[in-house]
Amino acid sequence: MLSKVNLRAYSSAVKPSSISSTLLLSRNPVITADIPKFEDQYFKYQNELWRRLMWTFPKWFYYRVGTLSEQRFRELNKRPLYNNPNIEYPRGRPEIRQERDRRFKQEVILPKTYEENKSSEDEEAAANTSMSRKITPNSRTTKADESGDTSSLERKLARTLYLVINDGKSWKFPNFSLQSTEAVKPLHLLAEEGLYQIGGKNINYFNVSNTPCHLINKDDSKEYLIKSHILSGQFVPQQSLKFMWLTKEELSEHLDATYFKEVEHLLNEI
Amino acid sequence: MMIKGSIRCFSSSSRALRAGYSTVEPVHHLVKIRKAALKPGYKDLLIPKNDIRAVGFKPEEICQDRVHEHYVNTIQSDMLLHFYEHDAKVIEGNKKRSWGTDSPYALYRNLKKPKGLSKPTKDIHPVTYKNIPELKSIVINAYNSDALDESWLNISTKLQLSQITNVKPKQLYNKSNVLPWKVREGKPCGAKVELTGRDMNQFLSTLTELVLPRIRTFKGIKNTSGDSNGNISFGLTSEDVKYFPEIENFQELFPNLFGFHITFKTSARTDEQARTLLSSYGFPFYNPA
Repeated sequence: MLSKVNLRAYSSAVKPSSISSTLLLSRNPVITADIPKFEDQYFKYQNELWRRLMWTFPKWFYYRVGTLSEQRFRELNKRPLYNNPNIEYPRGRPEIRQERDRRFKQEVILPKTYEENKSSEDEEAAANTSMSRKITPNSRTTKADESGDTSSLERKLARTLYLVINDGKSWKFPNFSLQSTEAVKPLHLLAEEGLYQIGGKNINYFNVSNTPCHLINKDDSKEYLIKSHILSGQFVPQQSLKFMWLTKEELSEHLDATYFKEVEHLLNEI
Repeated sequence: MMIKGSIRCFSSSSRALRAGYSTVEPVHHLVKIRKAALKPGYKDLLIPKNDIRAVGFKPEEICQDRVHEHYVNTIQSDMLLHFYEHDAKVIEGNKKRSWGTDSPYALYRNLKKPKGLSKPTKDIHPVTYKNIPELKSIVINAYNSDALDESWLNISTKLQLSQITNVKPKQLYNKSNVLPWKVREGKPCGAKVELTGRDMNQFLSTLTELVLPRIRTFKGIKNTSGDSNGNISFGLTSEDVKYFPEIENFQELFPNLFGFHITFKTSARTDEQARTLLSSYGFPFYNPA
């Protein structure tokens, strides 16, 4: 009996299942990942160790004697304490080599290529023209982070974000099924056309593969997941559609629990 | 200190201070082994430099590695999906052939050359999670023919490479005699450097973000480049080298600049895979006319 059940027939009268293609559109991290405090401290410790063990800066090469730049360098970097043999040093005798105290790490102060204490307007003007401007890193958090704007692509720069839309009932990944009247289409094209329909043509995206990355198999439907990345542009909803760009943790709150469990392994932790 | 052995010595220090010796059995009388180099005292020199026990310890993990993070978080899973092939089989390479078993003379004979080729080729395995293509190292080879005439230019070449890459380059020597080119065996002729790990990633991001976008004539890496084993190379001229920020800011220190060849060594089995990997790092490719 059991073997009869398992026997594969040449044909079977199953119901025609609906095939749909789900787009897993993600925005990749823009900045380095947030690391735990311990890891951060480890990097800092190693960095200090590296500076401590570093060779003496060859100032005789980069700042030739007698040049203006050498003079500027000399003004900034004072000579270390002279090792006088007639003096007793209570904190240890200086070990001078090439005008550097080898007991400590060498701190080299380089002449600035920009002027300090400038007004902000001047700086802004210089920022656009000068290559030697002061480099100030942007903040890791953006306006969208502060205002909690989940529909912005500029939130959570260190994380991978996924596009989810609301069809009025629940949040889900954009899903497109083939209409019975249409001609048969490849899954990735079905997803692409659907995306342009709901999000406008102003999206430059990269389709990782024409092969789906996952299949959710149900009795009456087959849902294929197509993986792709948004490279530039914006998702502009066409028919007053609600949408969000969410991280993995946020997806677990918004998606249906069983559905999330099904696709959890496809989502990026970072 | 206790004296080993039963022979009485007048001095115990001479025995204790004697250098260690190797007990390596000779493999074959034709294989030369420099036994002096196997002295136990030299063992510490074999410890890699990023190990704290090493003699010339240099901490490597001094900050987050942006490029590696990108590879692990994004590229790796994408490549796995991108190269997925249904029912993929191992494509066998062209192997050396046996001379047959009918003759006793062929028993220990060196194997016959592969069919149609002079060199055997490796098998191409389908990409799984175990063999996702990865950038192993970058080799920068600066052969300098000017240094044949003026040997001090070797120093300039090495200095230029170390300035760009933060790694000490190796001296190159001519391997053959070509008299019209003044090439003689053993003559120093440029330098090369192999980058791995963080230095490689740093060089990679400098190249793709600062140098290549500023070269006006740069169209990309040729699609025809590659050794069909997943290693891809291209060249930079002495004009292009100027755009490295380490050199650009100290132009008066580098009056002689030299171009070089950059080879990307990847664990990809075909050039196509290697090109995909490199383009995901931001290198453009083009079809030469």
